[in-house]
Amino acid sequence: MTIARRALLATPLAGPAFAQGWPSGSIRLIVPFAPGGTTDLVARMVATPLAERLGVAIAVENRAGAGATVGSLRAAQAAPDGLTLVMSNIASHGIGPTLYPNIRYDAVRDFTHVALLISNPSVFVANPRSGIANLADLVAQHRARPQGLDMASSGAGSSNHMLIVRLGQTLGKEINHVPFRGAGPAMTAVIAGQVPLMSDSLPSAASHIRQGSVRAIAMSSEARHPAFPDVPTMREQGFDVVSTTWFGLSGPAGMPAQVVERLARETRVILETPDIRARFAELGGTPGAMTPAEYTEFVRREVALWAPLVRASGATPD
Amino acid sequence: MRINHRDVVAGLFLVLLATIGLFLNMDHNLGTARRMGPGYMPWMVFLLQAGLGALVIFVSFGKRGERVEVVKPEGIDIVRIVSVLMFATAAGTLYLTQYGGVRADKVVTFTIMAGAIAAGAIALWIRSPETDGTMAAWTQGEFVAFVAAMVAGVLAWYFIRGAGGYFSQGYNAVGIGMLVGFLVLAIPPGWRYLGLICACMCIFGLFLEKLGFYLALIGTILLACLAERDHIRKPLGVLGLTAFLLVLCWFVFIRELDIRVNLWPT
Amino acid sequence: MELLLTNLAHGFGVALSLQNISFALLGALIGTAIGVLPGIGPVATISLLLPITFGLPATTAIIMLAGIFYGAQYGGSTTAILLNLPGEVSSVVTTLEGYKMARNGRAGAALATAAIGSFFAGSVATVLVAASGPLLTQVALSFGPADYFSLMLLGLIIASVLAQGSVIKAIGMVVFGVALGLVGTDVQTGQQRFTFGIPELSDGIGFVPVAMGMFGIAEIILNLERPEARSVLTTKVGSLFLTREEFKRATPAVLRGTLVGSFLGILPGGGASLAAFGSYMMERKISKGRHLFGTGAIEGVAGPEAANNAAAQTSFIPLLTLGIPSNAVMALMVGALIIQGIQPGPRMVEAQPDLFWGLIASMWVGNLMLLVINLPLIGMWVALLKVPYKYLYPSILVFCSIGVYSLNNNVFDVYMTVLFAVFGYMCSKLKLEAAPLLIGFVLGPMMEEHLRRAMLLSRGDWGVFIQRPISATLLGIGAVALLAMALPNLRKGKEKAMAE
Repeated sequence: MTIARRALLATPLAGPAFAQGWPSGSIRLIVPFAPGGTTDLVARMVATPLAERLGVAIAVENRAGAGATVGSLRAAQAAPDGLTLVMSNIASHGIGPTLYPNIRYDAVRDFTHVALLISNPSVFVANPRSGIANLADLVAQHRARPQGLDMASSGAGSSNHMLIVRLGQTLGKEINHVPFRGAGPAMTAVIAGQVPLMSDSLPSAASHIRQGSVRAIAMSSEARHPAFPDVPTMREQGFDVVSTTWFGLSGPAGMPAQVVERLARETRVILETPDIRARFAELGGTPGAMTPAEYTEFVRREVALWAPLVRASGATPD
Repeated sequence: MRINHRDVVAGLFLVLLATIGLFLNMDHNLGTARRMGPGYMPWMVFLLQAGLGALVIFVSFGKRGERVEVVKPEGIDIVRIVSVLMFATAAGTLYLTQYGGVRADKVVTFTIMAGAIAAGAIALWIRSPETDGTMAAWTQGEFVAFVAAMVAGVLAWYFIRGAGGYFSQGYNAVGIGMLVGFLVLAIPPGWRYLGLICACMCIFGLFLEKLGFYLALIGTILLACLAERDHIRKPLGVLGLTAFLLVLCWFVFIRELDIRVNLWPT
Repeated sequence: MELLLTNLAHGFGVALSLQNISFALLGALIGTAIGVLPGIGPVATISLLLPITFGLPATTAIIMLAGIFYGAQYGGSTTAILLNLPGEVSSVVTTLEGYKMARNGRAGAALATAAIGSFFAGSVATVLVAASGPLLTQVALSFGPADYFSLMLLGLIIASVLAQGSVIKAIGMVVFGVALGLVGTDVQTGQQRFTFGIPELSDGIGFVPVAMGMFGIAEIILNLERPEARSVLTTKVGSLFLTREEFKRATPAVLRGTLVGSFLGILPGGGASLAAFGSYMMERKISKGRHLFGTGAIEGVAGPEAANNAAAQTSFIPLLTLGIPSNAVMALMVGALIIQGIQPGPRMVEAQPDLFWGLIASMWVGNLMLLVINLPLIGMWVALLKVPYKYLYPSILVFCSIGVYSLNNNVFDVYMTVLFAVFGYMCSKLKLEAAPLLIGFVLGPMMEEHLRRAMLLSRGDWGVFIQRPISATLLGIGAVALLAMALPNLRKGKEKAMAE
């Protein structure tokens, strides 16, 4: 049982965690989406080297629901001892605060934002049997059907959801948005053909596009993405939108400064390792490089930026 | 008239819970069948539950073999019903306005409704001639302890939560309220085990974060042992058990699993 | 077929190295220990153990994690049988007949049945995964939201036969369980439902406080109230192994359970949680010992345990063929694979044959290890029942309290457990049964999600549930089951009326 014991962290603990002794036990990293999405992938990729550098285990915990706001709320309510962290993201910390009428946290005030981890474009993917290979096909099918097309997303409030709403508005006919608890279950539904289309963050879709289980039809990046040069951008196909999704590391408000600083330092080192850079590139994401202050400011700006857009779009959580 | 008493109470119980649910669900938007709101599923579920509860009551009237007198409220019953009703209204109003975020005008309707149904159920219950278990036929002492426990618990919670310090933190006031309630409940023999076992888990919750892991264990074990007459006669066994469990819990939870708790008083 | 055998042989070549076997053994041991402790589940354990697997080769790491997963599942059944403490959803069913068997002095036989049944089911399901994984994936993918909803609804209908008494009361409890499951934040709109402003309730009532309160703690109170029942519990232990007759009855139950479990396990999104009680229902209706249900029928342990383990194996199928984890344990497996630089998916078979076939072989090895560990341990577990109840119950209480607290490091869960203990006690006095409630509690939220999605896709047309063939079939079965349950009661009622 020695290995087990070492692994199960025989770090003695007497009294609450102090910044000096941090981390005094295993860390819980809340992923506010179901397993199998970008947030989940990135969390696990970063958690592993982070755990090694900090010398404690990091348990990734999926708490999905309501466009990532359930898990984020849980983190906001946790003790700010640096032992509970959350993957902050555009859904829960950018769009959600405006989209959800009864949200119970403030995306800036109730969190300590530590680092931006990854930013990446979104991609529209289609089931290969759906007969949709590009945006023109999508538009044609959408117009041809009296009830329009269905399109899945990882949850209401993601930038992927906003893209669906925007596309519908551009076409003058609403696309039926089908939210899931995360990109994993949504992707399963698309592969199965239950829903023909999905708007997804590139990293979670990347491996499925490569495997050919789904077909990429449009990318939301400015120019063609280096990892997927064959996939045309939305702009190229006449849908004039550029959109970026982001994921970061945050904790509850009031985390000790030393803890934040240490976390930010370690995270930055990890994001600069060639291994992580190579993996992020493969997934189509750009590693973040922001200080805690910069990231906090970034979140603040995102909330302000999205508020009028969300209201104007008339999007609703359901 | 022949009815299966326990089924009537069970049915009323289901209907009562469903009614409370339907009532609380009024705050939620039903939405449409296409875009179901947060209230849609609860609405369907509680309606179904109320229907099933009614069916349970209905079927119970056809059951054979259990002869039961028709309930005729007597003096003592009316006293009981009124006291339960008053208590339910007071406690419900207190709780919901303090904590619930439920609008005050709804609270009154809600508590009266809940109280009336609860009172009806209990009135039926206490008249039952079935004698298996304590709940089927309450003695006077059991009834008094039941009401006293509720009142004492709520009062303890209400007054202690403003006391500041430890008492105002987290769920400590709730825990104390529950502890007091369960200890009062444990006085008559019929409620003894229910009261004591629940009380000792409350002790665990109250002690753990303040007094630490070991004292919480000791408190829980000692109180739990009160439930067994053998232990009172032979305190040495209790001592041995306590020592053994302390070592075992230390080994399993602290040494091997390293759960995050305070070990000693803070 | 020949190719399969070659591949499996290759897999065993990988899995049977000394290192892999010892890690499989270690994993199964830790898993069993974890499973026995209330409140501490496999997800937490595997997360915490993840770091030590970094240094290991990928195959070894996965083998060990899989060992923990199986071990924890088996460990959960042990407490369910011995102490009426279900640690997870699947073992709720095991408490029904398993705990009764223990009270009849057949704890040893129940534990042995669980171990052997699990092993057999695991072996069959392993071959199934190897032989027809991709094919089964297609079956799983043909289930749409409407079909899942109907499957869950069927699940709830058959859950009511879990009850020993009145079916209507059981359905009432199922429905109330569904309602309890809806407490918390609405997954679509983010609205708080029935939370009374309590932050701890915002992501729902926990399964462990409900299960532990209504089963474990309520059972302690009831046992203390019946001193005569306690002495039965501790004096009769009986022979440890199965009698010839028990063996004969358990065998077909295991076979049927394996079948049911293998099928339900491949459905991502809740299939596996239906496995155990799907099998229980089947045994209760068609096994030879059906008249013994409610008094400790061995079929009621053998079938569900087999189904449960078969489902645990086949739930790997979506992960291995699509690369999409269907639950938290599977996500951890993916995490472990990604760390090793392996992306699970259809190409894994070609790209990493060692890992793929090694994993499949190790599933079997993991099951074998469980059998090896648990058969000798049965004696020890049964000896636990010889401990006088006056010493046993404070120990259970203490372990439950610590376990519940450690779920979230929050005393709130302890108080929740107390409330559900009182609720469970009342229900037991009113002969309202807890098992159907728990099944409804688990399936309710999933059901709501599938229902809303199905209706969104059908644009509000309820007809979708009868237009889709799978859904229509499932609903049909449900209707027949309901009728079958209602008819004998009606007939009985009439006969009695005639007699009078």
